[in-house]
Amino acid sequence: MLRFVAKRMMLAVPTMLLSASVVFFLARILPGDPALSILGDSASEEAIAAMRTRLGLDQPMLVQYLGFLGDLLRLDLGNSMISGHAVTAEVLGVLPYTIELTVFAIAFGVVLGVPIGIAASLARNRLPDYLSRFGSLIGLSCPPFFLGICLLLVFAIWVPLFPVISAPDTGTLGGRIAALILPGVTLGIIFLAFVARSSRAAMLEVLPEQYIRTARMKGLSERAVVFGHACRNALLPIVTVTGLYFGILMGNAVVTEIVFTRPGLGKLIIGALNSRDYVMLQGLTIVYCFIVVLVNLVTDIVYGLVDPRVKVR
Amino acid sequence: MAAPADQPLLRVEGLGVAVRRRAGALPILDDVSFDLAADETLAIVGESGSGKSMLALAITRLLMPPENYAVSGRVEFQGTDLVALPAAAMREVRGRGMAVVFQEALNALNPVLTVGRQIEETVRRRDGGDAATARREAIRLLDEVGIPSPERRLGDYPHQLSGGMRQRVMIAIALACRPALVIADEPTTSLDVTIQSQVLALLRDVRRQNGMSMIFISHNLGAVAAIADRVAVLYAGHVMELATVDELFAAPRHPYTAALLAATPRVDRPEKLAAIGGAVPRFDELPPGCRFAPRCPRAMPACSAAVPTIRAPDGEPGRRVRCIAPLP
Ligand SMILES: Nc1ncnc2c1ncn2[C@@H]1O[C@H](COP(=O)(O)OP(=O)(O)O)[C@@H](O)[C@H]1O
Ligand code: SF4
Ligand SMILES: [Mg+2]
Repeated sequence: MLRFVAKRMMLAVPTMLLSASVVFFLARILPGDPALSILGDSASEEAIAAMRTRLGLDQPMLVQYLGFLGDLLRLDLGNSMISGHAVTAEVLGVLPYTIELTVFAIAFGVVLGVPIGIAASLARNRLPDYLSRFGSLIGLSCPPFFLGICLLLVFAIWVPLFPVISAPDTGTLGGRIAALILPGVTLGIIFLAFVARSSRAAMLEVLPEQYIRTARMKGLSERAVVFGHACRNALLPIVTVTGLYFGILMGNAVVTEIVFTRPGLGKLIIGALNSRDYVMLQGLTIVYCFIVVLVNLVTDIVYGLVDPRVKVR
Repeated sequence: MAAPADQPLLRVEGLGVAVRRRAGALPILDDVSFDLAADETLAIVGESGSGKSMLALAITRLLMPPENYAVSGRVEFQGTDLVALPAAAMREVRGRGMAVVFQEALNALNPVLTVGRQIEETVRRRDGGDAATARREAIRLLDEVGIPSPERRLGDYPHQLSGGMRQRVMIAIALACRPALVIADEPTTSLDVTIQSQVLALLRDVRRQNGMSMIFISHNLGAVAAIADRVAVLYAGHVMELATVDELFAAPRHPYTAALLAATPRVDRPEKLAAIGGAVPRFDELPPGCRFAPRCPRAMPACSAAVPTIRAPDGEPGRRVRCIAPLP
């Protein structure tokens, strides 16, 4: 098992390097001169040339790339062109907010979605199944910003249970969690719907399996059959789905953070886009890629733990 | 509750199973009747698709989901009719009174649970008791079915075992139920020929040692001859002939049985059954009258007039044949 984990980790490092390199070259191949877009069309030739020097864009591509790799190894993603602060520090400063929001949304989706999906599969084509399928459809087709505004209106303004501005730094853990609930639900609802559908489908695939019949042949109770035999197998694909969705939800978190005025990567991204802070954008993209790779790594390891058929050697 | 001595362990009477479909019920098994005495082995033979597995599942009430099947007739086990039994009472019968050895052990064992866990849970469901006792019993069972160094196999997952070992584990699970009746549904079909005979011998031995009755389902007459006392020949959901192994092999009375025997190269050399001319009819296109008529060399117009009743041929009261003109 340890060797399996080590091997996966060894694989993750080149994947990260590769993704960072892709981001680096994309930023340079895509049309548009960063210096020009920062300074605007009316800038003078000298100003643009000075900006290119400042950005290091006048150097040969290979020199730039080697410098970039060297910096990357020291976790240096450059300095923001607006604030002048280190990108790494700025990103790491707000990253925990986005991560906690995403993790909350994931947990919300799994904790509610799995039981709903299982219950729906057991009540196939009866009322609970129809309700959950209808609910999933609504959840899947509901845009997060719209749901976020609705939740704010209902639970923060009409019935002021939660703060309108979800500032997480109220000092207490309770306050921090309270600030997570509305944005977390907003972000997690699509995932919840997706998990409910996936676990229902997975259960319906597992229930006719022959080993389920074997479990019944032993005279086990229906509960032991469902929870001891069916769920274990049905939940395997949910591990993969969760890993895949982590990245998607982190992307969606941007919108949610804006709606709820939460600190996080969202504000940083919008700010960087508006001010054309391309160093910041490049750094953000690389961090995002790294997180996706790390989450995939964790997913692989978890899957290896729960499915004995995965070769852990 | 032990059945009176004169009563068979299992009495199947007029059993019918129809698949419920939107287009109406599709009858598969029809008018299936046989008895099984304590300590006896009855073989069910027939080509693939004749309804053998469905018969096993109907007896154990494992047809899933149950609402898709209409079951009629009686399945009397130790004096109780199982067809009408409430689900909770049926669970008491399963895993206690009867157990099944399924065909493909790879699919019939849970891939994400260890072999030990799958046997131990059967033991504990049967006898209660603590984990340590169940573990000891699981080791004993693995030993009984001939698995070497059993305590080391407990932690293995099904995919880590060979096909033969998996089938032995499946047999160990059935034995863990300590059933009065074990139903083995083509237990050796998915195995190599050499392993087949080992598993067959194992089944025969454990049945004898544990004093169980067995329904042995197979399409292999060679295996049947080696293991069974009596044989029921199933064709397209009908029992065509019911006789002792000796009677059947000495002189088949039903033309289908005769064709099966002719298509078996040698009784003592188990090989895959060669095809009989023509094909098994589809259940939604059953011929009128005798279901074997389209392939029967002796068919005559009267055969298609009505389904022949199953009855004792002249001078053989213990035997049953469903044919209007049995072979002499
Ligand atoms: N749910 C179902 N719908 C339609 N046909 C079915 C269904 N279940 C079983 N059958 C039919 O019943 C027949 C008996 O199958 P089975 O018992 O598996 O035969 P055997 O075990 O002898 O090979 C098959 O021809 C199969 O097509
Ligand atoms: S009833 Fe007729 S068709 Fe059927 S097996 Fe007998 S002889 Fe053949
Ligand atoms: Mg079968």
